[in-house]
Amino acid sequence: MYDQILVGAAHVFEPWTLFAVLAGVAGGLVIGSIPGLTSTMAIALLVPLTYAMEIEVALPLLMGVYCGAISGGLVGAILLNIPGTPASAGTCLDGYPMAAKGQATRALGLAVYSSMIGGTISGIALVTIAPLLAKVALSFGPWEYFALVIFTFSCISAMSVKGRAVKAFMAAFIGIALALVGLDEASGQVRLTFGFTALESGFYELPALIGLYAIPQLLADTDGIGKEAEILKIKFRLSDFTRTLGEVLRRKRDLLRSTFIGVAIGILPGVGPGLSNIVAYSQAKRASKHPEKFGTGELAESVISPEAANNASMGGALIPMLTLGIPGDASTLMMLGAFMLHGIDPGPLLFRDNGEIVWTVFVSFFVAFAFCTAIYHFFIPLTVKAISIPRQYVIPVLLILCTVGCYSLNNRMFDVYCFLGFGLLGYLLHIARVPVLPVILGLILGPMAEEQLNLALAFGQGSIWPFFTRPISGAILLIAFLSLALPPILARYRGRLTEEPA
Amino acid sequence: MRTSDLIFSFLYIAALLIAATQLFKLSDMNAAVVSAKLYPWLVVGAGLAVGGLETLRTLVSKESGEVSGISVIWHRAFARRRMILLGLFVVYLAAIAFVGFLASTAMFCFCTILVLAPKRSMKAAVVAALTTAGTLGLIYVLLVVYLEAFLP
Repeated sequence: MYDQILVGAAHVFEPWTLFAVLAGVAGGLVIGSIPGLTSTMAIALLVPLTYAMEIEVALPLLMGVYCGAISGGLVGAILLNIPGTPASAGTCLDGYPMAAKGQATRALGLAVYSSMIGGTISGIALVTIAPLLAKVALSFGPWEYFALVIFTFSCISAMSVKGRAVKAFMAAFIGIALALVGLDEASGQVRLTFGFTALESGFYELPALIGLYAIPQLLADTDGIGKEAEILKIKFRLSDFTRTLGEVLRRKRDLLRSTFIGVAIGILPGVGPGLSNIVAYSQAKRASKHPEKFGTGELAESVISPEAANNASMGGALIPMLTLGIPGDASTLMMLGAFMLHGIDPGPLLFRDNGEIVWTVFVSFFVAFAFCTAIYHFFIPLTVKAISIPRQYVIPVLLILCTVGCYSLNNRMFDVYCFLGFGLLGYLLHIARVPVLPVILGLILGPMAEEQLNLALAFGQGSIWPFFTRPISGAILLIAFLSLALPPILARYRGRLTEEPA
Repeated sequence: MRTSDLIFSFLYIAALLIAATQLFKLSDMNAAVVSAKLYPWLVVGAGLAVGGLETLRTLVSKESGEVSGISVIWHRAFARRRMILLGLFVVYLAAIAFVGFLASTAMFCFCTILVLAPKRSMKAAVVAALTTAGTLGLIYVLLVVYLEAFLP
């Protein structure tokens, strides 16, 4: 293992790779700080462009973008009261009031240092948990993998907004059905092509992912043109900024609790920083001696908690992606696309066969956080400028980059038309308030589910009982069932309790 | 949201039923242990069941409190700027085959910035021209020179 660590570190500490990470972090910070442009969008833009790069450079670059974009959301949240990414929604609640009181540097410092500490601890969790889980996953058979796919969809459904759980399942079935399109390699028959030969090779995942995410978001972003919010003025002093590190370190309990929440939520398939920051904020409020002061911008922990949690989710989200091939959130889903683009299938075998690639990811994760911290120290005023770029300049440029990226994957316009088609589908779902993530997961996990189901049935002579009788598979299916069945039962029970007070 | 939910459920079920018509054409191989039809039918069947469940849930739901009515949703979905951007993008993709990538990209970038801008002025035109030149330069240097990739 030590030789793999050294090889991974050697890859990352090549001058060009370090430059790629730095450029990725800087680009991610800019995109993440612009409200409406998420980390997923930033990675989606870049993944196709990494096609021609060596994987040892491409992955660190994408890790840089991932870290930068998630961290970048805090600037918009604090100075505009608009989270740059959903991951910073909780930061708005106290970060903006704190900045409005003339303590913008303090708010930014608290957010930056807690982000970096949360992210680094989650990196340690990633490095320790992922290899262990990969070892356990080596014993998984097709029954366990199929059960994991079911668990992933149940997680997304369980975490959906109230009343949208069934819609999340519908979205997943749309994705799985779209993954059926094309030639079935096992039987040699074409499925759902409606006679179009262009569809026989199926949909390439990346144009679909980029279209589903980018087009609806960019169309919706046009609503904000001409309504740019007022940015709070900031007198940035480096000494004031660095002084907040002590304040963050004094809140060890909040920091560790939020980091734990972030890692735990990040590990759950399909949910990530968007949820963890809100949960961490509410838990910090519950644990606080002064919950009434939350929302006023007085307490440091109200800024520290959501920011530590959202960055901690990043390490957590990478764990199932690297060890099982199941993405922890939308951004790692794009990262999964990047691995597949370079011919590498994430899963337990990745640790055995391409250990140096795994360690390249691990090392670049830490390096990206180090660069992110450094950039924040010296370029905060520049980041503040980024959030005031009018959208009309950004939107067409991003659409053009997406188009070029989709074309460059296979050098064919069909992928660009798929990008547009999936974009229109994503827009329809956006209007109907149906989550897009399950569609993408369906597209990615659909073929895996089919392969594993067929293998499991073939090994079991057509019997479905091993799904329930094998301990790990049975346990995963039971948890999936409980995650779906328990929330409505508990909600009804709580409803009764409030209706019939003692 | 009830009306839009029902419209979505209807479209979803219709799409899966159309997909189901294609599955009848699939045949099994004698040597295969597992039927080639099993998984596709499982997906379409379970998908239809979920769609039916959601339709029923929406119909019997007491939730009348429409967060926003269908007209509001419709108005937002077909907002002027959104449709202009979508229209320009479709024209841009169609134009690539006839005009070439660089020319169509330049036109798309310049026109979109100007059309989306809240106020049209000489300054906006200059910024649009500079952004267009910068974008084309970036794409050329990054993709053609550095990554040696092909342009559409």
